[in-house]
Amino acid sequence: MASVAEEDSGPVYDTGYDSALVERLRVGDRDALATLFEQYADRLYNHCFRRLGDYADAEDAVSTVFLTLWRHRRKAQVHDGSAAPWLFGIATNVCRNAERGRRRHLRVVAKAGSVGDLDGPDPAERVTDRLADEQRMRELLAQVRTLSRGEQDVLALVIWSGLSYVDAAAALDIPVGTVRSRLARARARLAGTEGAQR
Amino acid sequence: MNDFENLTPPPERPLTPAQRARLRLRLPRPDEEERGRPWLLPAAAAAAAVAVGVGGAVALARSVDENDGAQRNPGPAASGPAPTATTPAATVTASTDPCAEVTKGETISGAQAQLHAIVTQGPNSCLSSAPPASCAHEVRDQLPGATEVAGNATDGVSFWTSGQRWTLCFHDASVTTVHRVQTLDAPLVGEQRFAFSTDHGDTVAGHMPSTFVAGGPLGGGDSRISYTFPDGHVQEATYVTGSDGSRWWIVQYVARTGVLADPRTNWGQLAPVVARLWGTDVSAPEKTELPWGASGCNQVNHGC
Repeated sequence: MASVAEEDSGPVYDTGYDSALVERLRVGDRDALATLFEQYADRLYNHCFRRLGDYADAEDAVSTVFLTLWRHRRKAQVHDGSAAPWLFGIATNVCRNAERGRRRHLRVVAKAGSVGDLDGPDPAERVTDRLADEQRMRELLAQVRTLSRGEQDVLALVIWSGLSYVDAAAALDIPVGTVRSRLARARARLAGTEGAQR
Repeated sequence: MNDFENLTPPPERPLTPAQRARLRLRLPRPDEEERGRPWLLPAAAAAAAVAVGVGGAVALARSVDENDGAQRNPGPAASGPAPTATTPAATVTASTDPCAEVTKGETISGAQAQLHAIVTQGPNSCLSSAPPASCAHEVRDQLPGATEVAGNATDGVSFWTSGQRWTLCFHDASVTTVHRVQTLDAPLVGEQRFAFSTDHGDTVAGHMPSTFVAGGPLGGGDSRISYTFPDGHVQEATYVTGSDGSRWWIVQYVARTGVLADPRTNWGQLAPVVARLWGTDVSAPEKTELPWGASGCNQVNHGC
């Protein structure tokens, strides 16, 4: 599991550097964009994978995240010197939309009666451990989907991606207290689900 | 926190070099805003659509969370697409489910096709996990009512027209690529005329095969076209005649080795592709440089 930020002091990143990068990004410096990509692409990729349960979709989502942040670069924000909350906020929105689109697609495909053919991974993904990871992640997501959307967002950011409460609050544009309460509700709800399954 | 132990996700994986290379290639290019890729406008609308959906969800979530009573924390999440949420395009897009309109044998209107194009970009696509569709299916989304007029089955390249509008489609076992739609009566010139699509295959033994395709109607005075790629390869065009007698040219190159098939390649630093067009004077071809970012992503139905 990613490092857990039970307290407000989450993982520490090189935040001062982000401030300068975001300043450059705001004025259209593409090198800053490239640097942010190199710095955050892996983390965002894994975050999106944990939201989507599919590595190929996660890759596409990362692409959209960087396209989106470039288009909205003038509104780029840093929180305590870190661009992570802003980036993870965009990623949360992108992945949420991607998930919604995929569900629509699967419904349409299911109606066409060929979901079995289309739901599989592409040839590049036919590697046993990756498939196993995707399967594992989808099982987790099936459990997590018993939570509200907001609770899922908080859980993914704080528990899985290791953001602090403060950063998760900034990413989701909600108060820190809401992060705490959502996480508490998620914990209680999952415990209840687990108990019911026993 | 132990309550979440049963939700331990798989270990993190870094992006592979091939993934990283693909993503780098998809980063916005220097002249993108000025020239614009054909899918940027719809992508913006798609982003707005995200904002509408997300805005609604956030509003709902906030109303649920009001009992928390904590001080609101001005955050950045809404700083993504949210500012464009009130645009008319966003309203139209958000209120439609374009994926529901994708049914075999069904004709869709131009507006629906545009909406469908909006959602078929990248991860927002309702078709993003689907295998390559046929040209007939993909072209229909970009150029409703089009019919195939010419093609080369060997290359997998076909040309489609609807009135004065036309597009190119490339189809192989792994991808179907539709180029931006152009008009016959107002043909593009220079870089835009010779822009090509780029499709990357799966990495095998350290090589990431890349397929480059360009083509279009052959002008009256055109006698020969060739492309020179940064790896030194010179690809001569092939020529086909349409069912209506029209003449078309095709350039297709699959790089299986070298710098164009190396996942570590920084595409932004590659020398441009050079297109050469010979007219009646065969000794003096017209040279057009094709920068990778601006001219190497001529597809409209998926990313580069």
